[in-house]
Amino acid sequence: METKWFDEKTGIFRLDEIVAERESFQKIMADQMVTDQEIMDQSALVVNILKKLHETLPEEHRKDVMNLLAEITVLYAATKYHDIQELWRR
Amino acid sequence: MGAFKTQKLIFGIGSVDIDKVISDVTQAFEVKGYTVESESLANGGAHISLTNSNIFKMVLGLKTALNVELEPIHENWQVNAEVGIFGQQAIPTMIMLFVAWPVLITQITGLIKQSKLDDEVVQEIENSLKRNKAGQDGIAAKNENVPPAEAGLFCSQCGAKSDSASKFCSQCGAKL
Repeated sequence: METKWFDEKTGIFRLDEIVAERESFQKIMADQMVTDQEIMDQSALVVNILKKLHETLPEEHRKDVMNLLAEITVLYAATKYHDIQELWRR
Repeated sequence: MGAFKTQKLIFGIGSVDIDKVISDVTQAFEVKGYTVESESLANGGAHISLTNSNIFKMVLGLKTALNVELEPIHENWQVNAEVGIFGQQAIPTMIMLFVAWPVLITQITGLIKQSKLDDEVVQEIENSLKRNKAGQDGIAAKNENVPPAEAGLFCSQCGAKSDSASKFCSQCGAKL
């Protein structure tokens, strides 16, 4: 079944809904305690997916995936840095 | 997140009955189909949270909302409105750490600005503050020790009060 990326009514990105449905997220959050092992297992899962994409995707699509990962990380880092700036400003 | 905040400093209001302001805003927006939650704060201000199912999506099981904070600053009132979680003054850590949260805030803020909800809320608050200020039509303020605002000029840069005869702000020097 095709996964919808955007809410049909508002056009808002649905990543949080997709994440909430993931078995990995539900398993980690089930006991409200994140262990070192869970972090390591999740990191390994991410690396395996990256390796699979790297092996199977054509070069153009590999670039698109890397662009997305890089830019979302830039946005996340900028947001966190901005929050720290705001705290210092106060 | 300050990057997505709508802010307004409303000058020369003085003390108000904040419960009446909360009631005015709640009624005005419930009639339009919003769910509204509010609380008065220890500093004399208030926190008001508005949500509906059209603009505000759930994020990780929590309803997003337009959160508005009213804060008294001397004779003036600071109004700040931004996307947050319904009924909560602070955004929960789980949401703050969610890598796509900035994307969602941007999108929800865009929808709010498109519908001009933030401007509407700020305007309603301003109207209510003016209606409910101390000394207005015999309405008593909650804090009876604060005198009503005296005549004078308020600086549009820093909000400080100067004599009505002044041409320049006594605090920051800006032209009045």
